[in-house]
Amino acid sequence: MRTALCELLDIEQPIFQGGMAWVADASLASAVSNGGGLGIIAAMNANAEWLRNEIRRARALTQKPFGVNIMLMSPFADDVASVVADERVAVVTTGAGMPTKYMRAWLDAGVKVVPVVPSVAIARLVARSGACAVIAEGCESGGHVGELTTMTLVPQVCDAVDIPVIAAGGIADGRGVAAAFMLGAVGVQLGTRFLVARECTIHRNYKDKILEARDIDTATAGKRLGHPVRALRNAFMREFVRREYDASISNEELEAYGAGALRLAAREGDVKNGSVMAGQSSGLVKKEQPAAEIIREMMAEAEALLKGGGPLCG
Amino acid sequence: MVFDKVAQTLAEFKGIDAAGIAPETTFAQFELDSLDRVQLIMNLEETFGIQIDMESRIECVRDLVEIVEKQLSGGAA
Repeated sequence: MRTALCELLDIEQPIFQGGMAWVADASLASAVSNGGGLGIIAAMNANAEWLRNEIRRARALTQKPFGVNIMLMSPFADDVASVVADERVAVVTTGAGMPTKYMRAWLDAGVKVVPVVPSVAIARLVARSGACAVIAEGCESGGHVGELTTMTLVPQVCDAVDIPVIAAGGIADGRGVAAAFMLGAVGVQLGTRFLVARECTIHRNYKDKILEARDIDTATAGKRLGHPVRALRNAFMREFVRREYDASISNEELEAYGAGALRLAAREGDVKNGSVMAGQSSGLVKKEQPAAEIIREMMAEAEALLKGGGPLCG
Repeated sequence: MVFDKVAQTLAEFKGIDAAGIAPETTFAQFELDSLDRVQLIMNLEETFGIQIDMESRIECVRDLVEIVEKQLSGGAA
């Protein structure tokens, strides 16, 4: 299925893979790009050297365009933002803040900027600053989340901006893709389903937790810190929530308790004491598959649903 | 007067009395999160028909008033 997004970014299918920290490396990003979508390397809290290496590794693995996600709260945000411009990465997505200070440099380098937006006002602001598309991400998603759901955020953002809108949050199969298109999106971004892509290098235990998850298994925590996170409920989450509600524990202590928890789960496989970040769509994710197969299957399903929509109207 | 209009916009946004807002009232006192902050600035842009640079240093109401006045007089924010 081709949409305006495919033309804009020179990709075959309008699917982004989310820039998930400790997950989205050159292996996963290149597999998604080779499968026709847009693979994305997460710069997370890594430094410039790590990102430059991953970009070069991805270039060795794919000839197709791929992107980099900049987490704007990273202590290395300035450095990794420069690497994106220097390396002339095809697309940069941003999260956890306003990318306005880097826009000029990226646009001058020919990098297409696609910020993740949690509200209409932020979507309008980045659109006028030169973003070529936006990712409207609802709180069904894993990791850092806003307040609005995908169902409510996507159409409101579509109404507010005249650039392509990519829907994210809660989408894990063709039904989600078709629904997102009905809301006005011309692309989708998926994180959770790609966690179990064969080329995803996270620990086996993390993948198994996603595959076993049920609809009710995720929760959010950390609202007190101003940036709530969605993850699977486990011993770590329960203890984090207990501390969050304990007024004798400072915000700094709470931050410190959460630090390193995602890496512990994703890289070392400690899915009890680590943070297994994942979206509400975990319950829809049933098998490990190559990224290209995920894309092919999902888009074929979406296309069939969109073509078959007529009978509903009698 | 720009201050009155800024104070009124702030008051409406927060659902508080404009009489309690002074030039030296800090932004921290309004307890705005990052989403509120952008929404508020967009509201001010609509009120005054201007564009405000999001990278502007805004710590108190006076900073905001100065930015708006500069924009209204044709200068860069």
